[in-house]
Amino acid sequence: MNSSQKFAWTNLFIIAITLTLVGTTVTILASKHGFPQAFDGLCLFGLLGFLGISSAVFQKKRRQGGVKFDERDQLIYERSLTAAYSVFWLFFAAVCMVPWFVTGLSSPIPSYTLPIILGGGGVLVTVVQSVSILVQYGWRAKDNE
Amino acid sequence: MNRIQKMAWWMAIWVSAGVTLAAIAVAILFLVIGLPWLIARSGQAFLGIAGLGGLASLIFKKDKGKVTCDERDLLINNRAAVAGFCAAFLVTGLACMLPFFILGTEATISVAWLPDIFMAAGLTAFFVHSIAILVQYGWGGKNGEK
Repeated sequence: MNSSQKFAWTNLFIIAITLTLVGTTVTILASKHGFPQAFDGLCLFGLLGFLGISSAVFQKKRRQGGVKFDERDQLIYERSLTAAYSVFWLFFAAVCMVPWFVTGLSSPIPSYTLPIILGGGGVLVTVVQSVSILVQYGWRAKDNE
Repeated sequence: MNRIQKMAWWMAIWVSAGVTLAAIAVAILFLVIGLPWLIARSGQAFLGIAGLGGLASLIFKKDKGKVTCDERDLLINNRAAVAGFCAAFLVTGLACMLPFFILGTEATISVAWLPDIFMAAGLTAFFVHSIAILVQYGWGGKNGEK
């Protein structure tokens, strides 16, 4: 398994763990205290900060020359970014336009909706990029070492 | 000046014109005439002018010959696209986080803010993409001639 695949798997692992922990915590808090206290469990989304560490680790190795990164790797990386950004635009258009069409021109929405949209978009970009990398290389170590 | 530069100029000009006219119209309707904000926002209709930028590929036909773009052109376009997306994401980030921090968690905002963010992000992406292309080729015909 090469460094890009490890990077992708690490990202997916961090996101899966975070979503599982947040879902479990919010469910437990909701059953005990109800909403809106259960929303306190959303602070576990801070675990997504580890995505920055995985990126920094693999980029540092690449800069130090410890990892081979040729034109094919570069092409796969760029294609995965293109896929991620394309999906992000679809998601962003949907979450911006659908509520407007459904609720009407001047309906109020809570201000915390905006950071949720931003965070959701960021997670979606990372998931699509990681999956795209794994699809292009193959999910396991084959001919891509 | 090659086709990509002409298209970039075309897009940058129409996006700039649309945003400028919309800003002036909203300012006049709201500040000078004194219309309510919700009605004064109708000046944003001038943003539709930016849509003319999309006609670039129809107006500037592909160059004659088998090779119309090489690796350098693709690299420039890719870099410009990344710059456009980064700028759009920055605008989106600011537009999403500033109201949250300024108004607080309990506040509500109009749902009309969402399409505004989407429009601002889209226009930023197209404008920065065009400017990044022009910067990389040079603004005039220098290294971009074909």
